[in-house]
Amino acid sequence: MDRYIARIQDPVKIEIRHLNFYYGQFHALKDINLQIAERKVTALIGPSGCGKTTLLRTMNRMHDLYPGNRYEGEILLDGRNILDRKMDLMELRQRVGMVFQKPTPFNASIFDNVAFGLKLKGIRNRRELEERVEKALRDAALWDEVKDKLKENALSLSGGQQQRLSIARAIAVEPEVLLFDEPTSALDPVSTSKIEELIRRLGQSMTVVIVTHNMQQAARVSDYTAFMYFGEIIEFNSTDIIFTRPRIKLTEDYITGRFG
Amino acid sequence: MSRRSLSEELEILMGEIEKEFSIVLDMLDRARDLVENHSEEAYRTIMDMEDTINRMEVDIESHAIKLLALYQPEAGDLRTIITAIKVNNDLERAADHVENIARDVHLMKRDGGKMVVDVSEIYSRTRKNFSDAIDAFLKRDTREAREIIMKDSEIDRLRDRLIEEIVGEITIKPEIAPSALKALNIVQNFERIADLATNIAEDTIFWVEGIIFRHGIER
Repeated sequence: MDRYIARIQDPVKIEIRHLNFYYGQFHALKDINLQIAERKVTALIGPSGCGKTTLLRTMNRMHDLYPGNRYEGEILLDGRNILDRKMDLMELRQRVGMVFQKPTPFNASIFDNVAFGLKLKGIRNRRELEERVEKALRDAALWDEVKDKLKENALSLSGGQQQRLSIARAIAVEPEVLLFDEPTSALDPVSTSKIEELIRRLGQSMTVVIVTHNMQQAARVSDYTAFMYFGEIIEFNSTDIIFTRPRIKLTEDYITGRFG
Repeated sequence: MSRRSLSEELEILMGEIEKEFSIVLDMLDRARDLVENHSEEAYRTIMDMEDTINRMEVDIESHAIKLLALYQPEAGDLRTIITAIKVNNDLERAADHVENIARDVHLMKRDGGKMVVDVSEIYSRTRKNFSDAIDAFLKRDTREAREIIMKDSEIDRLRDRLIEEIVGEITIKPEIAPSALKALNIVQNFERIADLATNIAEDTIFWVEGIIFRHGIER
């Protein structure tokens, strides 16, 4: 199969080298080589089952939560292999945060939802907690909507607000990398557009990787795009090239909806 | 550069068109000035400006194509990008016509020829239509755009009259034919620039009202 994997011009935050990943016997990711640019948005697109979520979850070793999974190869975060056995997973997940497909509010107040990660980090000072919760909510474009009801239960928020709350919780601990796994698939168009605007903005101050089954979303928010198929990266390049003149026919067929 | 929202991108795109407009208008004034104050340097400046417009045209078109592919614009946003592509093309062609005028004036002056008719009126009317078209476009003023379209036939009649004058001059004094043919080209190029001002006015109506208004057809 033809492939084209561009080398990037921007500084590299994550470098994936010859990564293979197995769910038990199933070979889910095949010889992945990919550079993730620092303080840019990189999108992973491809049909269902192509491995895009699997690849995303390797970047903060989310797969370690389940037995029988196996990695080969390297994922270098600032040059250090995060697949190393000595890697402290707590530290890794503070540096590489994640926002899931469905909003994940805890059954607690809005304030406590955002303060959760900060408390885990050992921050106890009330004033510092308040300041950082406010900053995270502002950065997640949610502050104005919730500032007068921080003590209310987070489950009372709308779906779109809950997702922005999940983002606020993730960014409160100031991760260097934020992984988004189909963050708008459960949201209406207005909430989707707010989250997209937020992702574009976050991408200026942190490294963002987003998995989306909506390729128009990848086109709208990302700087780089990787197209995956059957566990392989078929094409990787800057988003404007992928969406205006992809080099590989399979990519063009997928993007133009002429697949299969 | 990180990704911007579509509204920010459209603002940048329209800013590029505005810059292109002002360069073409400046070129037109310089070409007119060449008739009275010819110099090799003034001529070269116009040629350099034409190069700039060619580069801008390619940049603006590639920017617009990128926005179509990456943002899937709809309604007013879609019309903004289509209008930008059309006006960009109109401006590049207008710059080509100014270049033709400048070249003919330059060759005529270099060879010691004289302008056999007075082009000041066709220049000033073309310039007015062109700058009014810019104005209507930038203000999204479709009333003014419609007035510009109405005035195009006046410039057509003026061109016909000037061509008759030129033909008359050649008949009387065949030795001035080389200069007269250049004057003929110059007049024709001014008229084509006025046509492009009309196109820009039509593009403005499409942009603002979503109506295709051309050849007496509204759709």
